[in-house]
Amino acid sequence: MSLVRPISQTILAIAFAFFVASIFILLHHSSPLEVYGALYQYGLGSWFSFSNTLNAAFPLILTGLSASIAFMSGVVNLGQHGQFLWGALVCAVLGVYLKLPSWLGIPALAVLGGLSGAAWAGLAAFFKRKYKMDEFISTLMLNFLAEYMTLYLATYPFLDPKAYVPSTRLIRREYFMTNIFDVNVAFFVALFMVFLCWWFVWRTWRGYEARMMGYNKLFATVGGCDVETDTTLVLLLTGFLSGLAGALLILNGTQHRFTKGIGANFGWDGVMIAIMANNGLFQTLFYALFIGFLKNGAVGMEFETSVPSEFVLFLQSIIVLTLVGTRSGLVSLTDWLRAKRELGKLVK
Amino acid sequence: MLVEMIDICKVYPPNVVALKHVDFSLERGEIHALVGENGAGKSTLMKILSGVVKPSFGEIRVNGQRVQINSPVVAARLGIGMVHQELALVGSLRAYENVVLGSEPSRFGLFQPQKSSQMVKELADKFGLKIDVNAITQELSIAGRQKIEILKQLYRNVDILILDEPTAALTPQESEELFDEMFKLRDRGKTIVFVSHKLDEVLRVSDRITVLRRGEKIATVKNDGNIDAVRLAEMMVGKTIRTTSVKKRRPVGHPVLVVKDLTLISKTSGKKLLDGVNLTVHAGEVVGIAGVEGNGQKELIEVLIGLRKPTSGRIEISGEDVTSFGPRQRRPLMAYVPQDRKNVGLALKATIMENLIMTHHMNPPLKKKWLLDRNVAKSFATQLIRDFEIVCRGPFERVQNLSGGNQQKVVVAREVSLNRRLIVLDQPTRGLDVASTQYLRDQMIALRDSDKAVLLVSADLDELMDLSDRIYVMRSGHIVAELDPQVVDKTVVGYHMLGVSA
Ligand SMILES: Nc1ncnc2c1ncn2[C@@H]1O[C@H](COP(=O)(O)OP(=O)(O)O)[C@@H](O)[C@H]1O
Ligand SMILES: [Mg+2]
Repeated sequence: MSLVRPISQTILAIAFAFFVASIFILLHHSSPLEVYGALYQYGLGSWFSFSNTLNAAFPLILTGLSASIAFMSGVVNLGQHGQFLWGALVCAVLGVYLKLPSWLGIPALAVLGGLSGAAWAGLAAFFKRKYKMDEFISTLMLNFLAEYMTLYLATYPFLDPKAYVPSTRLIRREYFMTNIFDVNVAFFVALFMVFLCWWFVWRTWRGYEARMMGYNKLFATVGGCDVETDTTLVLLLTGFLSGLAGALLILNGTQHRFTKGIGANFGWDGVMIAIMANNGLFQTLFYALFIGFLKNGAVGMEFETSVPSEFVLFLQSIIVLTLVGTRSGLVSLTDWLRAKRELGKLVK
Repeated sequence: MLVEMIDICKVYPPNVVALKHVDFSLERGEIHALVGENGAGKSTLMKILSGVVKPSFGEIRVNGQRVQINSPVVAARLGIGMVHQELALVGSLRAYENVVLGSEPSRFGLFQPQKSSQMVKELADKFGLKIDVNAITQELSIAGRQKIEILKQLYRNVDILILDEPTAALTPQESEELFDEMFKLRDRGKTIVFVSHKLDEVLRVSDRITVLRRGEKIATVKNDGNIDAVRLAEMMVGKTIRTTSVKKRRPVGHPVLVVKDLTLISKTSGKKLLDGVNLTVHAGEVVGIAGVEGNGQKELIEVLIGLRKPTSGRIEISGEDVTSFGPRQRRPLMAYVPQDRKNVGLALKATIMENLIMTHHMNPPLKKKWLLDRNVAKSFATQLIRDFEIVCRGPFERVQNLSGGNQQKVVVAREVSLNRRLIVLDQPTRGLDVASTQYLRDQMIALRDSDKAVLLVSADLDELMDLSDRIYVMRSGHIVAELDPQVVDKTVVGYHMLGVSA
């Protein structure tokens, strides 16, 4: 199967990344073994750590999925952060005021959160269609706007006066999502979305058009693909995924309210995961779990060793860089070898 | 010899052979034209000389000394500078600022606008380049921006100036001005490489001409009156194989494609790219479009497929007015084999199957409501691979792994199997080996015999003469002649292409 190569490449790249990182750990006068031991213990070692890793990963899966689907379609949606914030805020506010039984309320809030993200991304789609504005710029700008607007809404109209930092009130208790064996239900929702998106991308004709558009937009256009609608659809879908991540974090996270700085990095982590995953959907799942593992393990690393948990951010960057570097390195190596062979034929 | 390039080979990774054992030389004070079809390797050869691209093999000598030109900086030091096909200037800067950018005259680290402007003005006057050096770059025409690029090289004191297709985007008047400037530069001792595929221009301005074809050097000739455009064109395109398909005259059917007064005016330059084009293609005939490249054929095709909206005029396919339609709406009515298969005809990184089902995916049996039927797609692709003898490992192989000929077969298989009444083919045999070319020509005849309307654009006159039932000749966006290849001779077509009377 063609799976062997990417998997061995990934393992190679991750191993190499950990190797590079150990050099820095040594420079920090710590033992890599100890550090990685702690990382493992707290990230994977027990059911408790493992379930925590899964719980840390679900927003990453969704924002990663959002970025992957956008990028594979050639749609540069970089607005995961803003779409996430709107999903979270709308869910948090409605969760306070909307009175529904939990079996209906929870899915309704999740979907409404997703739709808010979709609507926010829809603005970028609108600008693109109407004013030919690049979604790359508009989604980025909309991130800033979302940040200020949601913060304003949480600080003034919907402020919980009893809170220490600007935040909305606690959502109604019946909307708290439960866990199954310590694993957030939200994680399973995220898994389900991976399969749903896989189905969309690989089984529907719209998904086919989106992928072809990502490979070569002119080819798709000349071939008769409905590129305008496809682009809009991809923006809406990926906006929905990010918004859903925000909503689920409110429903199934630890705070159950929108606070200043919530989900600080999920948007950008999603973009990074998509890059690591080369826009593959199952790869996205894998790398989201991997980053979740690192984040979760980082806590343990700080407990057990003298390495600060910020180091994990550094480790994460090293891994992304070596991973992407190793991968493109391997590709250009094979290209270079083929070119050599071709030249050999030519000059003998 | 000022410059000698010896036995140059270039392979772009992973496997594009752009140059094969090319020799090229420059003498001091000459205008040396480099001609060849698109993709012949002209730009690559010149990029190697100017240090932008590294050769895979071969050596370069400047003034008899063997040199390694590893970067444009090294090239500039050797006195070699290139004005690229794509101009790279900062639009918001003034003309003179772009000229000095990167090597500004400065005093105590301060930029001196007054002095720079003055220096550039003197330089322009010295070489007779008419330009307002204080103009904002983006407000200048393409011709003006080109002068900035030329000045930029002169400012760096180059002796050898390479101009890569400088006239491609110029109006005839602007081209004239450029030629005058080239002569002045030559008179002041500069050596100029003029890259072009417009043969009449080449014959007018150059001292020597080198012809490239498919990465190989065909010849270097003195432009001393013993060479003419027809002969050059032959060298450029090559002797072609005769098609074995028996050509029988058949009664033609209804008009399928009708184009009336089609005009296209460039929004950026205001140039008339298409000027009142009228043509008709009937069912059961092959209609050829002849013309020297760059005379509106590309634009005509773009308007026909719906990528560009004509400024005025009307297009009908099978009786339906499609003028306002985009490609999606036109596709049910026409098949299209684009000239640029890598950038338009295929998604190289996608699989053969994904490439084969494009356009077909809009209809059943592939499209089932929301879904695309994978099983149908697979058997459809397998069938086409067999029918069209595409050499590959299977429908899931990536198209980029295929040879050029087989890539083209993927495009042709897809379009022919659409079974539309109209098929437009733009340079379908360019860059293909003999066998694939033969195969494609047979396909076109077969299409005609199954009563399709076939429109064939080709730069290869022999091909057009062999295949077409009628030939339209295009020049400067006009249809200048409608000829019957059974009656007229190839040279007559050539005369119409070049605009010289027979
Ligand atoms: N950067 C590149 N990478 C891969 N292939 C290239 C690259 N540049 C040019 N080629 C290929 O090399 C061949 C020669 O191209 P080029 O030198 O641009 O031709 P010309 O200027 O005569 O039109 C073409 O087949 C083209 O596709
Ligand atoms: Mg070129």
